[in-house]
Formats: sequence, structure tokens, C-alpha cells
Amino acid sequence: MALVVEVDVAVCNGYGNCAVAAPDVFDLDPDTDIVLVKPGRPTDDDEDAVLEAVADCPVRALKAGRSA
Amino acid sequence: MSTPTSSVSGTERGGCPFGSAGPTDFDHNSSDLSESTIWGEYAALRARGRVNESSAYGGFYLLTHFADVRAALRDPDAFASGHGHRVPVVGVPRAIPIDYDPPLHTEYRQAMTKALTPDRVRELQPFLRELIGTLVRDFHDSGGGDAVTGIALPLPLRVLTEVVGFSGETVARLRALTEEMWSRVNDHDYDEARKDIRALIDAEIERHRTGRMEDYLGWLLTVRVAGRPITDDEAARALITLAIAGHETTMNAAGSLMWLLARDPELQDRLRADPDLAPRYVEEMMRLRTPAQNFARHTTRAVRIGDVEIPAGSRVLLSYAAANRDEEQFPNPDAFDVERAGRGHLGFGWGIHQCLGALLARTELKILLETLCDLPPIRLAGEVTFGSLQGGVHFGPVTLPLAFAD
Repeated sequence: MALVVEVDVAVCNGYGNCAVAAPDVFDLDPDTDIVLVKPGRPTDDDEDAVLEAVADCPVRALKAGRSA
Repeated sequence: MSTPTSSVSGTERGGCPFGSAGPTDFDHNSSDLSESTIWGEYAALRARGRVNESSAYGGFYLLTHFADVRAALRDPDAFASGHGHRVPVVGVPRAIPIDYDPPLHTEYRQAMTKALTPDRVRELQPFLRELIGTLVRDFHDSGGGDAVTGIALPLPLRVLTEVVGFSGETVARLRALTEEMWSRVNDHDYDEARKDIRALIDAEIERHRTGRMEDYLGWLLTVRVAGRPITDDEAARALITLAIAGHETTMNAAGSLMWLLARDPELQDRLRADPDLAPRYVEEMMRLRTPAQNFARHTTRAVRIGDVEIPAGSRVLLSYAAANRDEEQFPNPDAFDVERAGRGHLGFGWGIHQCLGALLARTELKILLETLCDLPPIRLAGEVTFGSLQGGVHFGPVTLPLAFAD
């Protein structure tokens, strides 16, 4: 089961805390200031950082889980 | 520093150890705290230990280490906001949204976020460029002067008219009324201290309702919270937050940024050579100067930090400003270093109460820096003055005389 992240772009408010917690996984789109997931991410090695990012989001726009 | 109220030591109250140093008399509202003293006070508190207790205001705890302040901000269940965001608590604090906890807090925030979404901030960019361009060019053309009254203050006030829908007459009165409010908050009932601003906001609500105005303020009057229409009292409390937090913070941030550049020509030259660095300058200013410095929480359960147990029901002041100069997190913390990683500071707070207007502020400040780069360098042209922390929170230059190196 692979690590997956779900982002709610309608809720994201451009704080960028996720990109602090998991800079390899998340960034803010420079044009929209809304979260984007970097290509090929997340990998299983990103789990700890992704969970930090989920906990750090002020508006709960991120979810992490395992694919079936 | 003297304390206006009698003190109850933590030992009497909770029987907990405070290390060898004992309680301090740190008072973030003291008029003795200003630019020449405050950073040393924060450093002394950090050096004393992870948890300090002040004897001021009947006793409160202080967290100043980065990891501890951040952990508290990430745990709003244990470090709750429903008893107010300031020390001391006078009367019943009911600022929306910061004096509330979920689930109501979440609903209030969603209603307020509507004014400040990434889409809305992007839509505002042409207005911001035009406004900031005009303010800065007028300031330049008149030969400089006080950059607080010339740029740092009018910028957020004008933005409030556009973003919220306040009239020019309303925002023109806001600064004086806010200063008057801060002079009253520590010894007046919560609503009594804010009554003049409340009257201003109530008149705006009436104006919007009568005129059926379709701006953000008009929209706010129609939203539903907790499954029912928002009350005028709730709308007024949310609007007071937007009015005060929406100008004081940006004013101090813009003033601090211009001061940092004016006092350090090398730092300014580096930005002028590469204006793409502007966002990094903004983040590092937010860390180093932290325009909103201290916010309170209360513990809903006992919390152990290091070898100290903070009892349930304690007031805890979280010092973002002290945490942002914690050398465990930021080596050489008192230096402005553009190379530091950007957003990992607590200058906008962290977690569910993190600054609603952070993206707008970041955008305004970035445009301000880019605009300044199009004109000759700024230089200090007189004595820069700082007051004490307004409301125990807000800090920045009070007067900032600048000239251009034409």
C-alpha cells in the first residue's frame, strides 16, 4: 500500500506550512499560491514529513493515507 | 519593571518547580520594554529555561523556546483560546476569531477567510501595485519624510477600504482610536476598552445594510454560522479584528522592513541587484522583527514541558518574538540572514489561529520592496523611534525619517 496525499485546493489558503514540513513533497504554485504536490511524490520515505505537514496545515487542507 | 497587580507565586498556586531561577517579573505591557531592551529580555528568558513564570498579573507562564512555542500552537486542545489572547484578561474577551476554540472558531475563520483567499489576493494585485506605487512615488517626490505616516500606515488603511469595504472616513479614524484602545485594555473591561471602535464598526454595518452594499462587509452580514444567520454582534467583532489586526501588523511590518534596508546599505544593495529576493527579505524580517510578538492561551489540562508541569487552567504567554530568535532553531539569531529557509518562523503564528491575512501581507510587502527598488536607495534621515509593545503584542518603528539617495 503506497502513501498517498489528498489536497483540498478549495480549502488551501496559501500559508505554505506544508512546504516547510515536507519541502520535498509540497510547494506553493508561484502563480496561484495554492499547494501543489511535486511530481513522483510522495514516496514511502516521505511519510514522517507528510504527517507533519498534515498536522501543520492551519485549515486542514491535507490528508494522508494508504492506497488500497 | 513594576507590576500593577499583586502576585501569586506558582509555588503557592500549583506547587511546581521553576528551576533555580524562580519567577521573573517579566511584563510584556511594561513601558520599559522597547528596542534597546526587549531583545535582551527575551534572550534572558530563553536562557533561564524552557518554562518561566512571571509574577505579573497574578502569575502567568511564559514559553520562549521555538520548539515549545510551536508545539503549543500545534496543540489547540491543550493550549486553548476561549479565555482570551492577551495577558491580563480583563472582563470577557470575545475577539472573533482569536478568542474562540473549534468548532465555532472554525466557522468564524471560514467567514473571514473569504476576504483573503489566494484568488482574492491575486485579484487585488493590480490595485496593490497601483496603491503602493503611488504612495512610494509621492513619498519620493516630496523628498521623503516619516515613512510610517507616509507609507507604512496609509498602505494597510487603504487596503482595508478595498478588501473589507470600510469607508475612507472610517479608516482615517482607525489609527487614533486603536492607540486609545491600547492605552485602556489593561484596566478596562474588554468591551468598554473597545467601545469607540465598536461604534465606528456599528455605523459601517448600518451603512452597508441600508445601502445594500455588495462588498465583503455586505456579504459578511448574510453568512450563516453554527446553522443560523450571523448576528450583528458577531459580524462587528470579526470586523473589529480585521480593522485592527489588518492595519497595525502591516504598518509595523512595512516600517520594520524599510528600517532594516535604510540602516544597512549593503543589505539594500543586494536586494536592488536581485529583486527576486524580495520574498526572502519579507520572511527574514518577519522572523527577526516579529511585528506581533506575544499571544496568550490557557491550558485545558496539565502540560509537562521539560521538568516543569504547567497545571490545568494556567495562563500561558507564547512569545513568537522570543522563539524566532532561539539559536537552537536559528543559528546567529540576531542577524538578518537572507539565506535562511523562508517560512519556518513563527512571525505569523502557527496552526489553527495562524494569521488570516498572511498571504495578503506577504504580497503587499513583496510589492513594497519591488517598488522601492525602482527608486533611488532609501537612507535614514533622522532619529528612528520605537515605543513599547502596543497591547503587549505589536512592535515596530513609531517614526522612521527617510530620505532618498538621489
